[in-house]
Amino acid sequence: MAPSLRRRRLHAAGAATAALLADTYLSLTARPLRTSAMVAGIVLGVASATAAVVVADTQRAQIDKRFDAQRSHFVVLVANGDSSHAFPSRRVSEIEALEPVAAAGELSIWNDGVAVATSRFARTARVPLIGATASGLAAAEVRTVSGIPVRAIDRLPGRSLVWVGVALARRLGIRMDLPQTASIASRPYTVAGLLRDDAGFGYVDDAVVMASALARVRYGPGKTVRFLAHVRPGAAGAVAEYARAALDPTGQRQLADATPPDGRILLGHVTSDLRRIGLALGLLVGLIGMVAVANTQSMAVSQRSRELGLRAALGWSRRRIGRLILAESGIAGLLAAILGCGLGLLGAFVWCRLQGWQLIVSPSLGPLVVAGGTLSSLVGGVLPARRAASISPLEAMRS
Amino acid sequence: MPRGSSLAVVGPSGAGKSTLASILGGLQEATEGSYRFDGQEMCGLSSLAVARFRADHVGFVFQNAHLMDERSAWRNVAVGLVDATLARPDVEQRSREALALVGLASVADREAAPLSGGERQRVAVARAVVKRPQLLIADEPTGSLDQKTGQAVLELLFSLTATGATLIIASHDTRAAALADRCVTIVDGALAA
Repeated sequence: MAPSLRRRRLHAAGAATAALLADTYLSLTARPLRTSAMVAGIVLGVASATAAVVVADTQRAQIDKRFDAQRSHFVVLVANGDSSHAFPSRRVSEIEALEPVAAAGELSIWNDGVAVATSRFARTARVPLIGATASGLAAAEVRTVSGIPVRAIDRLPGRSLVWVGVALARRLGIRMDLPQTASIASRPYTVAGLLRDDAGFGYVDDAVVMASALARVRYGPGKTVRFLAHVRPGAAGAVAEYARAALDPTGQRQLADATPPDGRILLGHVTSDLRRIGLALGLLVGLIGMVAVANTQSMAVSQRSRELGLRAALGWSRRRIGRLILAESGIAGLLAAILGCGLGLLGAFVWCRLQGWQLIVSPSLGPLVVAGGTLSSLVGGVLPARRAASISPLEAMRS
Repeated sequence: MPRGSSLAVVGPSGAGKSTLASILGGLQEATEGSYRFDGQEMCGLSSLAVARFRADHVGFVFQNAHLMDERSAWRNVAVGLVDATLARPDVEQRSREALALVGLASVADREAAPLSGGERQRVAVARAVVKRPQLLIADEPTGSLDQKTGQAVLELLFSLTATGATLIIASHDTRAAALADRCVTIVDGALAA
């Protein structure tokens, strides 16, 4: 193609586009109420979808953090075989001496529900009985709220001492300002202190804890005997493997690695669920926007039949009239999508601030949402555009 | 009809004046017979070709001005410039010139809504002539105007033949017949005189 001809064609195309945009602008601004109604539907839809996606992304980051906290700090081994003997203390000390291990020991659930009461006439609660070593409780980050520090649990053998979780103490009315006794499975014990657990082993708060050596003597083998280690993030797998070999070299205990599941795998599932929800929401919003535009533009075409008929009478081709309606839909959709995206981000920002989360916004979200909003608006304008293109100029002029 | 001539089509209501004007302007297709424009047979053309014919060669003035009230007078006139490749400054300039031609240069920037009936119809005439059509078709252009304003609009329309446009006017108005080079009467869809 000769350069001059190409230039002329480019110039003509540019002028035609400018004319179309000018006509679109005039049509959209001529009836601001109708345009606002069309835009409002898309704005609200896009805003809610944007906010939902951003909040979902931010929540994903929160879940990520929590999984990391759960998974990477603990190793849990459960004995499925012989649990009549305590874990050999020398082996436990070896494990504790490992560089990535902060604390390690036994934290077993001896019984799922023992009857606990502070007197014969007081109410009875059925709560888990936990048999633990001081290092097991330290690994679980269980701390003493009041009374004798729980780290003394191994150093007072033969004494009928128990520690009570704070939630259970509240239920039973146990206070540490007076000497307190409790009947556990019909045996008397002295309540040595109250405990709280902050590391995710929340059931300790509503349980009775005694030395695992004492529990083994009084109640026989525990129901769920577990070895727990608090480790440096990233070392859980290696420590679990080492501890299993060290604590159960013959395989008699049948130790199973019950370390909390790998966050990355679970996070993958959750992420894919959230993405699916976001996609479904996006499609729904697109559909709503499409219907809103189709509705408003159909009404507009009916109201503007004389104007459109006049354009046809003056020589506008059907295609050009259709293009005008499509351009109106597309530009209204584009503006609405930009506005809606901004509003959605603002809403998500406010929500995340209220929750104390750090806002996470994917860089591709804005362009995707704006493109989606515009596209759905364009698709919604197709039928009205076809209707507009088929208006008979003669009938319009005679109406 | 030779270029620059004028024809008045008169007759009673329902005789077919508007139908004839529509066929000649390419708004309606003839069910029988033949219509040639510049030697080109118009019957049987595609809708795109007919739209192009209207865009390039025909200007319409209807009984109602059909203005877009929220737009200024010059922007209403600009609607008549169908050629989308014209630059916006050219469009504005030609629209203002057309308004000046019908004596409305002073209202070019005013919205159409408050204009009087006569002014609206003259804006419609400007919209019809802004593309400098070969054929100007007016269908009852004075039907909604008072006597004096109607006379002014008729004189304006007939004066435009001096620019080379051929004028066909379908009207009840006997003054149109008096001003036209030629007059035909239609009764029940057929030429009576």
